[in-house]
Amino acid sequence: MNINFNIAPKSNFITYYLKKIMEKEYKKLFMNMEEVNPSSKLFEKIMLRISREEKLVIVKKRIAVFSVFLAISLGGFVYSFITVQNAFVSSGFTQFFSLIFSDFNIVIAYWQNFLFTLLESLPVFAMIISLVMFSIVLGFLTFLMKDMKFINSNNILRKKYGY
Amino acid sequence: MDIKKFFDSKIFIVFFIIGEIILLLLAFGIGIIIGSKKADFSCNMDKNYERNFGGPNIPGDLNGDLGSSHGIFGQIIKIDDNFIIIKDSNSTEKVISVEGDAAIKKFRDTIKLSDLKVDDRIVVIGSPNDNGEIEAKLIRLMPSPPSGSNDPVNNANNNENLK
Repeated sequence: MNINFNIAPKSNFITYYLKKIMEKEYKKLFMNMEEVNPSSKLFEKIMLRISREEKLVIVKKRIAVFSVFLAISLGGFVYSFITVQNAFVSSGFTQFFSLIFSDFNIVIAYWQNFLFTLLESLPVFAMIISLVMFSIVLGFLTFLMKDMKFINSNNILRKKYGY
Repeated sequence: MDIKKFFDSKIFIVFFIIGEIILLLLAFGIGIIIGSKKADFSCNMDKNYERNFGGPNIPGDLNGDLGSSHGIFGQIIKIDDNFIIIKDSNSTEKVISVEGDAAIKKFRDTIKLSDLKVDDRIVVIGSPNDNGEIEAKLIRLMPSPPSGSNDPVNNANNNENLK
C-alpha cells in the first residue's frame, strides 16, 4: 500500500488511520515470521568471545612492548658480541689458539701451560655479558612467540567456527 | 620411553640441577686456580720489578689487569742475553726467559734466539717462575698484520702515542 505523505493532510484523522494500518501490517509481519530459537550455548559463546577479545587487546599491547624490548636487547646483544670478538683478539686468545694448528706437537707436549694460557686469556666478563644479553633476547623472543601463537590460534578459531 | 616424559620427569630435573651445581663449582674452582696463579705471578713480578726492568716500580702500573702468567702475545722491545722483554696489548711489559729447551718457530722453520729482533711480534707459551718471568717453552714469530687491521699490539701502541 503506497501512501504519499507529501499530499496527505496533517490531521488527527489521518494519523489515526495510518496507525491502524501500521498495526495491521505489523501483525501480518510477525504472524508470518519464523520463530528464532537461539542455541543454548549462545550466551557461553558470546562470553567466550568477549573474554577472548579482551585478552587479544592485552596481547596486542604486550606484543608492541615486547617488540620494542626485543629490538633494544637485540641491539645490545650485537654490541656485546662485537665486544667479545674484540676482547678475544685483544686478550691474545685467538693468537694462542692458533698455535694448535701451527705447532700441534709442541702444544700437546706442554698442554698444561697451553691450557692455562687459554683460560687466563679468556675474556670471561665480556662473554658473561654477551650470554646474559643472548638469554634476554631469547626470553623476549619466547614471550613474543607465545603471544603470536595466541593471535594465530584466535584467527584459526574465528575462521573455523565463526566466533 | 617417551623422551618428553623423560625430560619432564623429576629424576631428570634433580640430575639436571645437580649437574648444574657441579658445573658451577667446577667453573668456580677453575676461576680460583687461574686467579691464584695470576696473583702469584703478579706478586713475583712486583717483587722482582727493579731487578727485571732496572727501575722503580710504579704502583698501579698494571691498570688492575694481572695479565697472563703462562703465555703472552706482544711486541719485543728488548733482547738481552737469554731474556726477551715484551710489551703486550695492555702495554704491560713482561720478561721472557729463554732456556735451551725452548722452541723458537718462524713459519715451519726452527730459528735461534739471535734471529729475533726488536719490534718482532711473538706469541709465547711457558710457565711462570719465582723471579716474575715466563720461562718460554714455545715462541712463535708472528707475521706483521696488514695496515688498518684490528691488531691489539698496534692498537696499544697507537693508544700510548695518543697519551
